[in-house]
This record gives sequence, C-alpha cells and structure tokens, in this order.
Amino acid sequence: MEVPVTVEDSWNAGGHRFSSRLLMGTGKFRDAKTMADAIRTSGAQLVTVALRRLAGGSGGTDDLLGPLLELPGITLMPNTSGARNAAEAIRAARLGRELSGSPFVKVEIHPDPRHLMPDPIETFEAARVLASEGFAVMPYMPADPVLARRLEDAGCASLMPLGSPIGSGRGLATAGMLRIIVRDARIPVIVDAGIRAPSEAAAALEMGCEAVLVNSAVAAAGDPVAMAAAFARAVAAGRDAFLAGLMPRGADAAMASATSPLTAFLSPVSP
Amino acid sequence: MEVIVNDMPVEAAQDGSVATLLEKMRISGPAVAVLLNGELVPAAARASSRLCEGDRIELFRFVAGG
Repeated sequence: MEVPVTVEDSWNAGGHRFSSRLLMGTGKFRDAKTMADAIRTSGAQLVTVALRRLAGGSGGTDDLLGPLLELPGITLMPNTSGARNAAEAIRAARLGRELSGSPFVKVEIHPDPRHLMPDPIETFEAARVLASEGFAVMPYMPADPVLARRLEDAGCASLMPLGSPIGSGRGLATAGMLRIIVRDARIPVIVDAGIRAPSEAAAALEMGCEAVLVNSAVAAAGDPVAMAAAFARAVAAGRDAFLAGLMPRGADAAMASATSPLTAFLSPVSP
Repeated sequence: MEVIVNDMPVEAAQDGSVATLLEKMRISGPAVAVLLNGELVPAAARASSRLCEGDRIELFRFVAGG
C-alpha cells in the first residue's frame, strides 16, 4: 500500500525557508502584548521592525520589542524607514544587521510623507549595494514590472510591490501590474502595503504571490488578535486556491455558462 | 573631555572607549547599535574603540514599524 507523502508547502527567500506566507509588521499596535499575541496568532515567521536614534541619554532596553523577541521561530527583518536616499538606507541596513543578526532587510525609501511612494532610483541603488554585501534584500517598491526585473537582476531575495499606499487600506489597486510581475519574476513576490481585508490577502495569493506583508490591517483592527487569525486562514486559502488552479475566466461578461442541463426539463430522459 | 552623543554633549573619561561610555550611560550593549563619526562600531569592537574630544556618537535601537 502506498503511503501518501505530505510535502510541506514552503517558500524560500535569501536561502531561508519559510512555511508561513504571512509577514507581519510591528507598528501601530496599542501595546506590546497585543502586538506579540497578534504575531504569534498570525504564525508569521518574518517580522519587520524599524530603527530610530535613542532619545538623548535614555536607556537601551526596548520595552516594546521585548515580548516580540521572546516569540519562538521569528526572524527579524529590519526596515530602512526614515531613509530618504540610498546612502541613508544602506547605513540603516548595516545598523539593523548589527542589532538583529538577521541578513534580511526591507529596503524602504520614501521621500514624501504624504504618499510614502517608494523612490525607485534610490531603492535600486540601495538594493544593488546591499545585495553585494550579502544582505537578503526585500525591496518595498512600486508595482512596476520593469523595475522588478532590474531589482531581481541586482540580486534581491524577493520583490515587495505595493498594493496601494502604506496604511491606506485601499487593497490591491495595482492588481494588473502585480499579475505581470508575478508572471515574470523568478524570485518570490510579496505584496507589501495597502491590504485591509483578509480577502485581499487571499486574492494576492490566488494570483500567485508567494506571501503578503500586513501591518495596519491587523494593528488597527477592532480585535487585532482575531484579525491576525483571519489573515492566517485567508492566506492559507488563497495559496490552496492558487495550487488548485482557478477555472478560466469567461471571455464575455454578459455570457453565462450553464452548470445544469437546460434542455429536456419536462421531457423524459432518453436512455 | 566632551563627546557628542545623539547631538547632546556628554562628559567622557580621557582615553575612554565606546564600551566605557555606554557603561557610564547605563546603556545595555546588544540592544543598541553604535555609529562613531558615522562608522558602525560592531559590539565586539566597542572596548577597543577609543574616543577623542569632540567625537560624534550616534546610538540606535529597534522600534515598532511595518
């Protein structure tokens, strides 16, 4: 009798293997305990943190991140938020690696606080330098297929195009471009930013994205821990649907395709 | 002698190191990353990194972020 073999569905970035397809940010939570509980519930294995200068003369322990660092199985991914150009992002990445011991860096360079759109030129330059220094570079980027290819060729570990502006909750506004990036990429594509509802995370996985990165959608939810659980299930369902293969979309929105026989309703069924 | 820590003047011992400065400021080691005049000082090199008058030290730590 053949024994069915269960192959774990995992993905790989920068030589590291992950089973969870939900990445979590640590911002905006009302307190550290809620953050840690939500991240534990989400099952996230890659978790972003930011870097800031210490306020003058204050101590070096960080109460906010203490509970997070006690969670098992978490790899930190320091981001470079606050950097306005490649040089600042490179400096932040090196500091983040010194503090975390993690090779992962979320390169995030957004010079304009109104829209927080990533600067593609500075992002590319930072990614190129950091990849050559051995970082597992995860660039937050506009949903631009041409830039995606350039970042991939520069040695990035993944591509992290935005669904819509950071914290906007406008969902997958870039869906058309995301599909092109997913179709052409040879490294994982992770939708970062804009996701509000678990259904949007599921949609990203259904179109073939490897994972999603979520922060505000969980942190600013009515019940962040319950929302983390909802996202974990949505991401798993979206992945299962992708693997199962969606049915083809009808060519004409005005045309149906019957699922039941339409003829011979009142006639005897012919033998 | 005086050094500048995150833009604030701080009194440091003559011939002091980055490590002794952090000790004096009661800042625990691994939670803080250090730049000395813009250059990263790895934790293992803090004891051997000597300070000079007017050196600029910047201290960083992790905070919550997405």
